[in-house]
Amino acid sequence: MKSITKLVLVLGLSLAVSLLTSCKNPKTPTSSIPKLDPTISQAGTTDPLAGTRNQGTGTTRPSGPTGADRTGAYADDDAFSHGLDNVEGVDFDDTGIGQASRQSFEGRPMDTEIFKDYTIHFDFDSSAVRPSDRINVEAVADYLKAHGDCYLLIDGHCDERGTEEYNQALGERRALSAREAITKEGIQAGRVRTRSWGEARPVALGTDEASYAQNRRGEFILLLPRTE
Amino acid sequence: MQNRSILRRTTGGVFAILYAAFCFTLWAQTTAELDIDRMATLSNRPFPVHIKGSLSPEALSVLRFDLEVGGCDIVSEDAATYLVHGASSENITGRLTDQTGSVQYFNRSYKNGTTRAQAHALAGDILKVLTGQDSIFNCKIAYCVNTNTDKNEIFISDFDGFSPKQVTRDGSLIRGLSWGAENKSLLYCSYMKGNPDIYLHNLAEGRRSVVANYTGLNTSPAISPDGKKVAMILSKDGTPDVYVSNLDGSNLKRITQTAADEASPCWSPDGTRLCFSSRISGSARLYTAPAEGGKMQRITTTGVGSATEPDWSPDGKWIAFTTTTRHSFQICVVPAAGGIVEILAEGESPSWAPNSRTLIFCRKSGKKSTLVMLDVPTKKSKTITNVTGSASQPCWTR
Repeated sequence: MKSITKLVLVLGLSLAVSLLTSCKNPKTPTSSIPKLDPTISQAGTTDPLAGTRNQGTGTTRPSGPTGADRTGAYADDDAFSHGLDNVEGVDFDDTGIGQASRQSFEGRPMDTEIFKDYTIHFDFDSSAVRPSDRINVEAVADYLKAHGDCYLLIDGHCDERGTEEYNQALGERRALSAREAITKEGIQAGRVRTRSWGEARPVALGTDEASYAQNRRGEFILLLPRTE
Repeated sequence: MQNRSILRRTTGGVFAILYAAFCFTLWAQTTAELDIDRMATLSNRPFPVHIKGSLSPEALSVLRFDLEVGGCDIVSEDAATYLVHGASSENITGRLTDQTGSVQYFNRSYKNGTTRAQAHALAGDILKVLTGQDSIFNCKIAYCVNTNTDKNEIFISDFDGFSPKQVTRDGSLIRGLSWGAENKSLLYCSYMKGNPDIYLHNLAEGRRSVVANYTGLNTSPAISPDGKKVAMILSKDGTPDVYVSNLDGSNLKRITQTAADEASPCWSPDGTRLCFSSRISGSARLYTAPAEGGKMQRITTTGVGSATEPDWSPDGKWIAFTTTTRHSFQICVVPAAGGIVEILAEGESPSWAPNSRTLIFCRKSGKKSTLVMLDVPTKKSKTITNVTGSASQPCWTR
């Protein structure tokens, strides 16, 4: 009988202990759903995929050959602490943060709407991100931190007052400056690719400064996880 | 000249004035020599030519167009220094003499090809006498016809826009168009796969191969004079820089390492140096660097603010480029070693003909862009009127 009592006691204790420990390390769903920046969640509502993405964060991993080696780095929100040189295909140099291989961006559906209100603008003939646009860069970076399976494309654009090839390079430099700013907010450079359109895709067609100012811009396009 | 007449007036003065005048003479002579040097290459007067005889209207219009492109003024007989005696029957015959008719430079009949081709050949012979340069009228040009701000297709035509042939049908955007080795291929950047990538387009086979499709920008390819290398702009390492590789993209070498953006590389005719624009000083200026890699060297462009789209003349002496003001684009030339800029005409995207004196470029007016040719020494320009639509990025076979 005593042995039975002992067994019950041990079982009861271990049950209590396991209950206690599970309370100490609660696997509450909230810990795996990162907080959305209020400004971003507003933009996110325009996106039908926003809801599913919230649930998927932390469990969905980029698929494909290059996706696998990134999962470790992206499991943590604080990607910055893992060191940028962990990303395959990225070289570092005094004069720029190298780009990751094309494959890691291929096959990802684009969401051109979600960051539409976060387009940044540039001064004439300048590729410096304006301090006033930092809030937009931070918002995009926060969203990427919260959605580790998503990548980013930055499109750089110019007004028509430069020559075509010069504008192509300037548009790229603008996109790269925006990429550097995103990187400084803690997003791995390997998750961000750039594309310049030069002067080919103006949003305003006028030939006045107001139109030119709208056209000198960097647009953020969300690259969603591959759907297979 | 004005300086010297001022000098003459001062020579009658006192010793102090004489001394000042002596110093002034030295200065005036040096500047006069410089001016004469520049005059000889850049400020020639057009050749006054009169066309006589019985050329057909088609032959006459071709000949007139070509001679004007080549730096001639078509004038009345008594104002002419040269007389062209032309006749069209089954074939074109042509003769070039001086105004009196006593000196004959050549007398030829043109047998092969169309009337246009024969008239081009006659014009080429005339300009060979006048300028010493081989004919450019048998050359082709490649250019883009724009259907939208972000859509265009490549065409190849005769230098005057006749006989156009469409090369691409991608419904995409082309940038940085240039000819490949021996004019048998084209190199360009196309967005057809969603990213600006560089292709080598074999014209005979209609086949395309990838030169560079790295993440980021791949654009502005330029073939080396020996046809073995491509200079280009890539941003794979995080900033738009100049790179050189083999035609298949192998053996890639980074030439510039600046945080600023470089653009539009071109080769010196001996293949040893590259010229390109860089925003390293804050605004666009011209630089050269050894094609094997090495230090960047600024080309001074005295007289203009910005400088982009350089093209090195085939004789190695000049660099044509575009300067940008807030409201217009101007075609300029500067000695290849740098110096005082000559502003030639409104336009952008200049390309030298093989004669190192004719430039082709485009001039935008509203949303339409037209192709213009300019004879640099005489500054005479001629618009190509028979290209339909908006054309840009012209480049001359060399």
